[in-house]
Amino acid sequence: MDLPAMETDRIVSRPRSRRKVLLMGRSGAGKTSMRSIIFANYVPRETRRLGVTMDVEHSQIRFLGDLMLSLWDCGGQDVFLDSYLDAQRENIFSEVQLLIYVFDIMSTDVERDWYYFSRVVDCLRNSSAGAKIYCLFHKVDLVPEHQRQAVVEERKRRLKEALTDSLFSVECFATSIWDETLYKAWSFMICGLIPQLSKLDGALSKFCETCEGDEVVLFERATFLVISHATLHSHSDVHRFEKISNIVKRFKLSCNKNQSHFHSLELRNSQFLAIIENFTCYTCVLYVSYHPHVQSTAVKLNIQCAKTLFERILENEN
Amino acid sequence: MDKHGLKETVHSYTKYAKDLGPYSSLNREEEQQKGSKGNLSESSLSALSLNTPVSAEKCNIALAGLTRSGKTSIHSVIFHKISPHETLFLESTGRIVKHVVSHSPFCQLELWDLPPEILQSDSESSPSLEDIVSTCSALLFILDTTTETPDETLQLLHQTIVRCYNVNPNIHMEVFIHKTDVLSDEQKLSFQREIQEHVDGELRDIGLEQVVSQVSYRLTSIFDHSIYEAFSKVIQKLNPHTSLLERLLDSFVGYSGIENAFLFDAVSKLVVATDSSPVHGNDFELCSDMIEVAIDISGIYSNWNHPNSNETIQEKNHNGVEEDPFPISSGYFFQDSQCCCTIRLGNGMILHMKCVGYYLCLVLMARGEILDSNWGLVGYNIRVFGDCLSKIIRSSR
Repeated sequence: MDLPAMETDRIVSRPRSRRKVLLMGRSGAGKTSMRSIIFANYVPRETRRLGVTMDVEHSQIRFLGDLMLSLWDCGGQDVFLDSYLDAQRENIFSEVQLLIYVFDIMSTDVERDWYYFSRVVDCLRNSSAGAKIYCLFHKVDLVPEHQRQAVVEERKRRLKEALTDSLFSVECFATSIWDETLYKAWSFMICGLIPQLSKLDGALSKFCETCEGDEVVLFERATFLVISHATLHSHSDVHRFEKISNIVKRFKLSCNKNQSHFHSLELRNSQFLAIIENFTCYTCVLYVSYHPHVQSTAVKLNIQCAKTLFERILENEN
Repeated sequence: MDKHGLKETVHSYTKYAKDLGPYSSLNREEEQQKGSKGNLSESSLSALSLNTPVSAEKCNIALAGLTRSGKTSIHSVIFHKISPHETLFLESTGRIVKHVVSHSPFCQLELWDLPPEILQSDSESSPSLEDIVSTCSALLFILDTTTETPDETLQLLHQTIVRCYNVNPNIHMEVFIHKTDVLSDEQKLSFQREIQEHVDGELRDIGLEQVVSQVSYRLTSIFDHSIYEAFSKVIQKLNPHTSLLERLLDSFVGYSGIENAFLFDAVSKLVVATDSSPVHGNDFELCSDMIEVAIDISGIYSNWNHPNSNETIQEKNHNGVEEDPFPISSGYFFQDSQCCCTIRLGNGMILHMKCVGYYLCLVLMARGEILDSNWGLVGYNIRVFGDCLSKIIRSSR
């Protein structure tokens, strides 16, 4: 009995930081859909086939190699929610690092939405006081565009009211699986769990300058979530990283159909040079330069050279 | 250093714009034509408009089929880039509508979207099926596999083929066995065999043996890549230069030591020509997805209001690019002769794309170890290919 246990110990010898992430919200809000899109490479319309989540679905997601996300996708039917708040309370709410609460913005039963939300927050406060809370107002694509901002503001106001007696600060995102907002929100939420982030930002800016780049972006390799970016000039399109995530993920899917996988990309036209390459074991890098004399081979060499430094930054936390 | 490089870019762009000169002016003429004929397509075409000379450079293609068989969906997906899932909301076409497609020189089409009534033998519509087909080089009959009245559909198909042959014996007839995405591979083939045997039998019965070889059958669906492949085959058939282009690609592939080369119409992502070596499985799809990736990323970064790039953009506008019929982002892409993209895959293959002007893209697939030691040669060969291409295009005017 002892021996196999020891062996597995040795195989996973490197200590990992495990983060417990709760994904909650009422039934049909879109929790499992978003999880499938971000972590299982689903195409948005495939999520229609997903059924109802029964009780809690646990998944262990390795992010950036050393970070283990233990994602608890909690089914949102009232029976389950009541049981989380009651019988399973200890089990669910202990040692949580992150709560992602999903609201269906088109929900008709708003009162009950808020009732469950405030009870969940109460339980969380008692069991894991240090947890971060993010709220996603999901399916905003269903709200007509001119009303969208007003509706979201209204929800935010309600949220503040619901939290008057709470110590938690809550950040909100309006999301939809049909555009880039979902990626943006998840990138932001997951990046908050990465302890080395400021170091990474610094190193990336330096790298960008050294290679005469105008923009360098670091993506997680499996999910293509944005981890960090260095931008020397402001760009008008704030969603560009998420768009690139989408573009690359789509292409990866079509590579899979061909029994192959995406390795690297180089695009040059009369204005700019863009390179997407695998970087460290768990990241990809996007490099963009408008400098007409930058040679792609030189950039690739620089990327190779910078690899060790970034690998060290990503690992040294433990 | 910086300034100098910039001038270089601007200079080469100006040169390119000059090369493009006659083509862009042609384009404008076509735009005007489109404008004037646009009114007509709004209402049912009168017999008068048929008498106006049809521009010699355009291939006319008639789209026929029963109601809701997917005629409008097909050309909306290919030429208007509507998402396949949105085609559900397209309304039935109740009258004859003409769509003018003017992309690359090898993709100059006039699509006649025909309402189903015109196919009935007692139809009194004006112009009649015969009038339209007599000016067309191809007829696409869209056959919906999900139809509830298969016998009636087959009957109509047979009738239409005979009527078209009688007016225009040289017409290419293409049967798109459509909406096959719901069928298994086996079902698809048996479906095709069944239809083909039926039509062939009927044609033999009435003594039109020679027509049998004139009808091709293709399995299509807008939800996968098959519709692009089928339509590519059709335009390849209609293009008189196809065999020349194929030979050119063959020698390009042979001399460069690469696996496959495709010439794409960059806007519609239809394949204008390929070399004659066999193409594996989804390679077409992968190549057209690659063009899409390149367009999308160019779209994001080409509009960056960057201090270095400002000058180039102004220069471009000065050269009259604002008359570009495409949105700015993709417009830059198609006009940019320096645009090239290389994607490496995990299995050691390299996809390389190069814009060769005239809204055409050359995409090649090669083994990494071979291409990496031959970049100079391949680059040179691409240039030679581009030169030959412009000769072909110029000679065909």
